[in-house]
Amino acid sequence: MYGGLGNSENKSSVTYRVDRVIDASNLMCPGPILMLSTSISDLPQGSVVMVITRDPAFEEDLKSWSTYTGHEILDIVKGSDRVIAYIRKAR
Amino acid sequence: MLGSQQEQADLAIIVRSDRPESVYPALILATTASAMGVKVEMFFTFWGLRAIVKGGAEEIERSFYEELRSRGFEPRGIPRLSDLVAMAKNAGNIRIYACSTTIEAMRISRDSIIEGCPIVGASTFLAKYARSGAKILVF
Repeated sequence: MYGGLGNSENKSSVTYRVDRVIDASNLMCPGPILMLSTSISDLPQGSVVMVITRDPAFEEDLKSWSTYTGHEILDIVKGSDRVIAYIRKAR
Repeated sequence: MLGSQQEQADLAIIVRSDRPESVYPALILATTASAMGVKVEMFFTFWGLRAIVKGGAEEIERSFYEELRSRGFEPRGIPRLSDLVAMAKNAGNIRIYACSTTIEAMRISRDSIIEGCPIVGASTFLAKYARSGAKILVF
């Protein structure tokens, strides 16, 4: 599965191999972060997760979560009504 | 052992109300802290204990949804309260305690509290935090 290119809202120039897609678009805080945290826990190191959300607070929340957990934010792509983020599992 | 300094968490959360505006943020912060690798202890006391009585989270959620609808809002975007309680209970870095005095005062049986929540008193809780730099949040 690949993400990072292919639609008009996407300003990213990089393509990632995505190991798991988390569609959290029907949940606000803390739904997307909790889904991401739970989902990433059983993936091997280096896996890339794509999170789709409509939560306007998600970008800042994700940065804070990433600082605490060490997981790497590869890209955050902002569209008109949603945010898509790519995260690489650190450990 | 309960109350030992070794088991001290980074964040202590006291829940004393069963109002949605107390129970939801308390559990949202606890589960999010857990997701960020922060150790949390939760102490449920007075009406707040209802959140960890079996079926209590569903009742609190139901009354919250009714309140939202009565004000013209269809509930959306909110995590299920029972899911938050289950996540907190199953998280390796969240410990949930039930207040012994509340249990006696409200005639709550041990069996009616969700499994895995030790029943403790004020000293047990205070012993961990009175002299520590941990943050305590009260809801």
